[in-house]
Amino acid sequence: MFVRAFLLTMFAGSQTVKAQNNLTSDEEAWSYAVSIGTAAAIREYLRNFPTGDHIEDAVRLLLDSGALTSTGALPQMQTTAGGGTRSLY
Amino acid sequence: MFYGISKGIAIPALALGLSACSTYIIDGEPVDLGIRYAPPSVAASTAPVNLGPNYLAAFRAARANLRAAGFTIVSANQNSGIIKVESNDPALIDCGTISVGPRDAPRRFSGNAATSMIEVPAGPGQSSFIRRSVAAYTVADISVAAQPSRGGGVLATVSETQTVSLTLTQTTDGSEAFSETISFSNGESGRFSRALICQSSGKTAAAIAGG
Repeated sequence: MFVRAFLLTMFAGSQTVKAQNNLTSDEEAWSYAVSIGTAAAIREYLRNFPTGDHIEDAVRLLLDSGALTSTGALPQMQTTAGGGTRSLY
Repeated sequence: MFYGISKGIAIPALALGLSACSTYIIDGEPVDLGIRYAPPSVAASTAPVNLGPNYLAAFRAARANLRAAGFTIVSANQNSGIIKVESNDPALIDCGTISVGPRDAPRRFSGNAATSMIEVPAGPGQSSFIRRSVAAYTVADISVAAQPSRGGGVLATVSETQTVSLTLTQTTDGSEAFSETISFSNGESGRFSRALICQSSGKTAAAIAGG
């Protein structure tokens, strides 16, 4: 039962990702994410367009729907300057 | 780091063939939250800009080009050849490139992007977004002068000081997680307390020539 539900979730999520990855324009991707209307779709938009025209709208939607509740850790990144992992600042 | 909990189901990382430490299960599927940074690859140029043979025409063209490029002309003295300008355009700085997501299909954006959202882990099965804001301020003195020793051409030399502020805020409560301001001048680069490096993009000089 759990496995079936999980696989269905994975399948649906993968379809969303594949569909969004095929959308090259910010506007198209945003329209698609809104039409799907799930937190996963909105998150996927933010992943694909981190500087997109609708990033503030996307975050607001996630907040309003209760899908964004925890504060995040400061981003860590790999850098070619001296190697290793550093904080993004 | 790996959070393998999603909808109450523990998912061993190895079972999914995941080896990267930046992979998390979010919304029921593996997501690579890796972030990579490449600093500016080309040193900022401080070379003078050749504006042609006629001083008066060169001075006027430089002033007009700077205005057309969006600079605020603070003062322009034709006798001294000094044009003082300022601008808040982030494109005047180069802070390298940030890549997010999987290595084989990263999404890239400029380190000087005014606003970006970066997905970060926020606990088992969850992610959150950090709002990354960059503000830039450039002040420049452009010296326009005939150079008899260089065949009589008119050259413009840029002396600029740039200030960059980087702020990270939590999208959930708006709290400020990090804020720092750095300044640098004339071909130097500035480094934030950890990794981010910024320098002039050279676009002030390009703007003088109408580029």
